[in-house]
Amino acid sequence: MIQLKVNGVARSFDGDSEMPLLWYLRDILELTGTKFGCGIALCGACTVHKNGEAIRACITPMSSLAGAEIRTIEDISANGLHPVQKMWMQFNVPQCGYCQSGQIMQAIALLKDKPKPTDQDIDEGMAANICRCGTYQRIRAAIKAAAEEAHELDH
Amino acid sequence: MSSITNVSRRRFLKGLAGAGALVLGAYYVPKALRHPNSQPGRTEADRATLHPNAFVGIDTDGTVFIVAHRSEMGTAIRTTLPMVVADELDADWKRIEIDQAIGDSRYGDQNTDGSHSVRSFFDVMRQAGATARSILILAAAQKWGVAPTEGQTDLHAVVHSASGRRLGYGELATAASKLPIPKSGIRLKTPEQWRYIGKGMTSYDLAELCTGRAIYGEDVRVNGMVFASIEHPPVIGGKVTSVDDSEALKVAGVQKTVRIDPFKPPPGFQPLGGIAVISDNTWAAFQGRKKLKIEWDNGPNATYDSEQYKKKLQATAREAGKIVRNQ
Repeated sequence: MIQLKVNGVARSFDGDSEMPLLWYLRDILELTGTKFGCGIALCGACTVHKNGEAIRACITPMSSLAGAEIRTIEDISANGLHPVQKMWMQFNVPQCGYCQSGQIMQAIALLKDKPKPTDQDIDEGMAANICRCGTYQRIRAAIKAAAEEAHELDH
Repeated sequence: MSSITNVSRRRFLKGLAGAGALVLGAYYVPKALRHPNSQPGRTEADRATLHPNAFVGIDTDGTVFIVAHRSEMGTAIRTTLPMVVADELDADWKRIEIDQAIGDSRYGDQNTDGSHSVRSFFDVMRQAGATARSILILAAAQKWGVAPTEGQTDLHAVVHSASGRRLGYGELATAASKLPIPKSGIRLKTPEQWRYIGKGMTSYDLAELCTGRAIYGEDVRVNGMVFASIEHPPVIGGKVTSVDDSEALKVAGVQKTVRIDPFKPPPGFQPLGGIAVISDNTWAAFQGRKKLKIEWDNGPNATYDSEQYKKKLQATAREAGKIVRNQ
């Protein structure tokens, strides 16, 4: 029996401990905002937070999550839009949108580490999140704007 | 003129012919579909008080339902075509609800491919919106006892400028629903009058796409749903000779396996066939699939060699060609 928290709710899991978190979220908890892209941590579509850090749910076995706090895209916007999501909308970032849950979760984690990221910080931090529509320019602009907004709020 | 241009022009004409047939579809809605309670696949537009054609419905609270009959795959087509309807209807985009259609012959061709949805349906959507707008103007003119030509629309309302009177689309829906659908005299906007077309709108789904709430095909969940993963033949056109699924069925969560017959040539968009593992969740289906013991009959392509074929193509490409362009 694995005890963990998902979006603030205590859960216990007694299935196959090798099951990746992605399928627990999507098929069992029916949290379908997190997407299945490649299944081998190459694309970033399945990015969620584990104790505040961005991880790839598709290769994270349930066995590694005892006591973990998992946060998904659904919880980010539970109480209104996060500044990153606001800027995602303002800059009209998504096209098909399939990768964007992962992009947003990665961006939030990046801004936690680097509240004032340079272009290089953004390119490096977001490099493993692939967007087939090619929305990278708008992603970068939205992250910078979100950083500025958060900075203004602090001062 | 080159032969390539000739080909694309032929395609263009073919597209127009298809759109022509659909203009009729937008106008002519069988009576049964105007009272759709007995019809499967009905939309909110069908159920609305005013429902002048298959693409538009207007309720008494002013909500305008617009049917998106093409598939969304990331081009925002389910925003774009309803936007054209909304523009010709002179509707307020904030009061639009987009109604995703399922497959239904009354919409005509719904095979969303080839980058031609706007080209093929632009005129159809304009007519669908303008027809609804005309009928709302007629209803208002009747209420006011003025000539329909004196009525104008102004963002979700019909106005009579001479007297300053104004009726919202919702207020007119019931009266308009009792009028015959106009077949002629429908005025389209001029491009200068467009509010939305060509104005850089954002996707109707923008907020959903930024919050993980957008439902993609793989996100649909229904009661009693199971999950499957398919082991396909290693060679296209192959089929299962025999399968031992006893180990697969021992995987926790695996319910059963199903044999899927291969396609009858040519493959087209048909299933490739193989063995599907049906399970409680995707992971169990993946694990069960790994435990299948399948003997394959690789079929007519068993001896096909991709490397050989590549060499053949390269050799052909180096041969002298025949010039087909018109000089």
